[in-house]
Amino acid sequence: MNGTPVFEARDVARFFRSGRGMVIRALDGLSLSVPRGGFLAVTGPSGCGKTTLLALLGALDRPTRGAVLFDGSDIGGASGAERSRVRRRLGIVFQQSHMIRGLPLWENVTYPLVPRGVSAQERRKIAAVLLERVGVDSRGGASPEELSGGERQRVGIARALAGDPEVLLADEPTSDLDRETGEAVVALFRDVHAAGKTVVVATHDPAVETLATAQCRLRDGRLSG
Amino acid sequence: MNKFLAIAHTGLTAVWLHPLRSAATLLCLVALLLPYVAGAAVARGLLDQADVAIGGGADLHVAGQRFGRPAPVPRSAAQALRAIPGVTEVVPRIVGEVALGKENIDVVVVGLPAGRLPASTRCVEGELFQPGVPNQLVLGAELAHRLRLDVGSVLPPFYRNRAGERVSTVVGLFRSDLPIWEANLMFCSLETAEAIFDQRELVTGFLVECEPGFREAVKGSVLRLSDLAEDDAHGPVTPAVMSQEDLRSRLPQSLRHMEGLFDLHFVLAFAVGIPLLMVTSGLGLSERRSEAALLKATGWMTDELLLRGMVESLVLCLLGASVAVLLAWGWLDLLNGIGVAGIFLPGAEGSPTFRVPFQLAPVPALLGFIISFTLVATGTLYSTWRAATTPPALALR
Repeated sequence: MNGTPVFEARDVARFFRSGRGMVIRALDGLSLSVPRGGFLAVTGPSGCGKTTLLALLGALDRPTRGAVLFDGSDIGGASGAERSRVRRRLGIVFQQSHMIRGLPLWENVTYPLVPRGVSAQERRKIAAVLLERVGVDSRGGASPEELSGGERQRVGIARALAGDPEVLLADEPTSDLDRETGEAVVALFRDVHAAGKTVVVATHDPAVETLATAQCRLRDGRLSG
Repeated sequence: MNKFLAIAHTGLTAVWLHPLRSAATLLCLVALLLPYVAGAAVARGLLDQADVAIGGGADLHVAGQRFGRPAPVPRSAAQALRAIPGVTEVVPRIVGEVALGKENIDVVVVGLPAGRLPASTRCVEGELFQPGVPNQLVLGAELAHRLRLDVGSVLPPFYRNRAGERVSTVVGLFRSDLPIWEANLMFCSLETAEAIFDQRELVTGFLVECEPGFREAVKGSVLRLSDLAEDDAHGPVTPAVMSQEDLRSRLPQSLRHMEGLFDLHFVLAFAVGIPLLMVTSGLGLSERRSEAALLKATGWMTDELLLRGMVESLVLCLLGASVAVLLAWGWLDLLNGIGVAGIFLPGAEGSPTFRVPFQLAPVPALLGFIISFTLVATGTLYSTWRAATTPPALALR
C-alpha cells in the first residue's frame, strides 16, 4: 500500500428532493480519502449516507456540491464518457444484486466485458474461473432466476471482479447472506485486498470491519467520530 | 470490429430478453405493413395483367366519338378501314354492360364475330357460340360460378328490345391467362350483342391488325378520316385510335390512381400507427431502464447502449417485414386476397371468385421496412438514451 489516494472526497454534499418537496441531505460536507491498496469500511446506521457515498465514489451519481476525485481527476463534473471509462476501472457490488433476467450466469458475469472487445470464448473462461471462485461454478449455464439470494450476491461479486478492477466497491455485500455464505464472501474480500486491490465496503458486518485498514463512520450524512 | 460485433450480438439477444416488448412491436409492425404489402402486390399484379392483355390485343383499337366521348360506329365503317393501305384485318366489336342475376352482378358483354375470341382465352367446357345462331353465350368460369350457371343453362329474358324478349343459353365456359377476365366477361356473337343492346348495325369499335411497320401510318390514316358514320343524319362520328403504346401509357393510370389512393390511406394508417409503435417500442420501460443503468454502472458507454438498441430495432423490423411479406403471400395466394382485391377492382367482391393477380415487389416491402425501422429505432433509442443519461444510481433505485 502506498499513500497516493485512489479516491478523494472534498466537502461533498448530495441532496435529494423527496416526493413531498422536502430536501433530503444524504451527504453534507463530507471529506475523506482512500489510499491505494487500502481497505476502507464505511459504517453507520441505516440511512446515514453509506450507499450515496459509494455511488459518488463509483461515478454512479454526481454530487450536489463538492468534488469527488479518482486518481486525482474530478469525476463528479466529468463527461458521461469519462465517467464510463472510470467505471471500467472499478468493480461495483450492489446491495441488491441486479441481474439481467434471461441471460445465463456466465453472460451476466462477463457482460461488462462485451464493449471491451473480449471474445465470447474468453468471457466464458473468465466467468468459469470467477464463478468457481465465488462458489457457484457448477451453474454457469443457469439463469439468475434459478439462484437463491446468497448465490445471486456471489454472482454479483464475480461480475464486479470480471474486469480485473483496480478498486472494488461493495454496498452491504453480506447483509442478506447466511453466516456461512457471509464468511465466504468476507474471505473473498480479504483475498481481493491481499491481491493489492483497493476495497471500499459499506457494511454493518463486524467481520468485514475487522478486515478494514481504515474505517469511516457516518451519521446523518457526515463523518462521526 | 470484434467489439462492435459483440455489442451487435447483445442487441440480437435483447430481442429474446424482452419477449413482451418484442412480440407487441412485431404485432404492430405486421398489422401496419401487411395491408400495404398485400395491396401493393395486387396493384402490381393488375398492372402486369393489363400489360399482357394489351400485348395480346390488336395493333389498333378504333372507336367513334361525339362531343369527345365514345359513340357507336356503323358496322359498315369497317370497309373504310380495310381500304387503308397496311391494314390486314378489321374486326368489329361490341362492348357493353348488363346486370345479371338476383344480385345484379355487373357483366361486361363482348360481342365478336364467331371464332374471334382473344388468344388468351380457352373454352374449358362446352363450345363457342355458332355463327348465325342468336342468344348463345360463353361465360367466364368464375362468372358462371357466381351466377350458378353451367353449360346448357337457360337464362330467362334479361333484356327487352323492339323484337321483344329472348331466352339465352350458356353454350360454353372459358378460362383465361388473365384471371380477372373470368370474373365478369361474357362473350357472344355480334348479332347477339346487337340484340342485347338493341343497336342494329352498330358496334362500339374495331380491332385493326396492320402489316409490320405500318401501325403508325395506319393510325394517321384513320385519324384523317373525317367521319366513320357516312350516312348518319346526326352529324359525323369522328375516329379515335389507340395503339398498344397508347393503351400501355393510359390504362395503368387508373390502376396507379387507385394505388396512389391506397398509398395515401396507408400513410394515414401509418400516421395513426406511429404513436402505437412508439409506445410498444418503449414497452417494459422500467425493466429496460434498470438494464441500461446496470450496463452503464458496469462500464458500458451511452453510444454502446444505443448501438445495442439500434441492432435490436433492426432485428425486430427485419422480422416484422419478413413476417408481413410472408403473411401477404399467404393472404393473396392461399386466401386469394380476401378484402384487398375490391380496393383495386371496382365491383370485385370482398371474397373474389376469380384468381386475384398479385406480384410481391421488393420496393414496397423495402419502403415499409425503412419506415418501420425509423419508427421502432426512434422509440427504442429515445427510451435507451433517456435511461442511459440518467445517473445509474438513480435509475437502479
